[in-house]
Amino acid sequence: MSEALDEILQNAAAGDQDAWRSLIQTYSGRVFGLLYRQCANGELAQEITQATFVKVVTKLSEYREQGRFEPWLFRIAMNTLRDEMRRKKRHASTVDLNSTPPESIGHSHDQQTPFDQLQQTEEHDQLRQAVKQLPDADQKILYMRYTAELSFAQIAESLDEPLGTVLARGHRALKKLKKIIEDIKQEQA
Amino acid sequence: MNAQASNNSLPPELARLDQQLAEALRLNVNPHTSARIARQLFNATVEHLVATPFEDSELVSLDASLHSALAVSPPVDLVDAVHNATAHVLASNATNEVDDSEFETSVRIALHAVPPADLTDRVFSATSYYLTFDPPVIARVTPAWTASWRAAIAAAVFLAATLSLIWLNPTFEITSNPETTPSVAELKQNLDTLLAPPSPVQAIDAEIQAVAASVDEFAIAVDVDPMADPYYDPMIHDLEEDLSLLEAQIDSF
Repeated sequence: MSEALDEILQNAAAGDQDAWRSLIQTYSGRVFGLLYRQCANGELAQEITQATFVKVVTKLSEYREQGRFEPWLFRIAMNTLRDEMRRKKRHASTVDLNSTPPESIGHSHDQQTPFDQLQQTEEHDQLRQAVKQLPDADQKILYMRYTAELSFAQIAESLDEPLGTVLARGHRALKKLKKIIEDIKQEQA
Repeated sequence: MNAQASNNSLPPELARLDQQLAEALRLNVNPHTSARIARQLFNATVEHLVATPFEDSELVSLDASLHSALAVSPPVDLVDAVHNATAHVLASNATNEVDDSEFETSVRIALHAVPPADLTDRVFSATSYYLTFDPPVIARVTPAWTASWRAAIAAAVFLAATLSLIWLNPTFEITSNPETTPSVAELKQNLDTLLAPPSPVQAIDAEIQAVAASVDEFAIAVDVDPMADPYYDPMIHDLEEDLSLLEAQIDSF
């Protein structure tokens, strides 16, 4: 995969439009997802996704580090979002609880009754609410891990932090999340 | 302690940290120091596990050593984190694996976000244009383009302000040398001179300041220090040309 990616990157840097489209096809959805989860604004997430790829395409010929494209790409995306947030002097909220969650696509509901599906959606809403209660640093790692589908090693590189720190924080975040969910369920019971 | 007992199986760097940690714990030094060393040991261990081809028995030994060391005087919250994270690394080698635990699967689904169907096309349309240009050129095209309207507004405001000035005080003169294009600093100095009290032009002070702000703004937009190199940015140059035209008009009065 890495060699194939390097070849695609080289071709795109040389002006090959098919290679560039292939890169966008592979990564734009994940970039969008990460941005959307952090800013809770679909339009803004699309704008920043575009801006991210503009930055990437203008720097592609300078990109030399093989095998580190994903951390580089996602770092650009997050920095671009952060700059935009600063510029607009808005605080980045994490999840738009009122928005219709598009997150079930790709997961089959064929075997589920409508009640099961409803319950699952509620459970997922609850999870997203719970994530919002975590510290920003924990939220970021969860989004990078579960929305952008980065490995912990890639997350560590994107955030410029030791792998162990990221792993520990990721696990701690999951543990906290579980506790919040349990508390919510106890309150409801 | 167990950590020392298993030291022989540790790589040198880990053994050194392990020893340091054991010593810190034995001497009962500041808990923060112990925690810092423990964290270093943990990070080094994880790095080692990820980077090194290893045997299962070696992993078990490392894991046991680490936990033994930490268990003597556990830094707050670290033992659990170490246990979970190390167990995770042992299981996955920190690759892009999918953890099948039910809870993680729920989190994965809950945090998944489906992009708009036309996202690829949109991004491609917005970016493919740049494939045919050299990066340094592109880097300047975008800010210069976005700054052009600001320059036009700035020039118009400046023209209006100066004409108002002439109307209010027809005896003034521009002090810069018309033979040379003035620098941004000179322009600002001229404006300051014209605006000095008790001139009646104080009323348009805000407008003049807006012009100066615009100059600063588009200079920042193109990442250029106007004081260092005022001719680097074509927009500044355009503004100066507008000023020259303005001066010519003033001379003709």
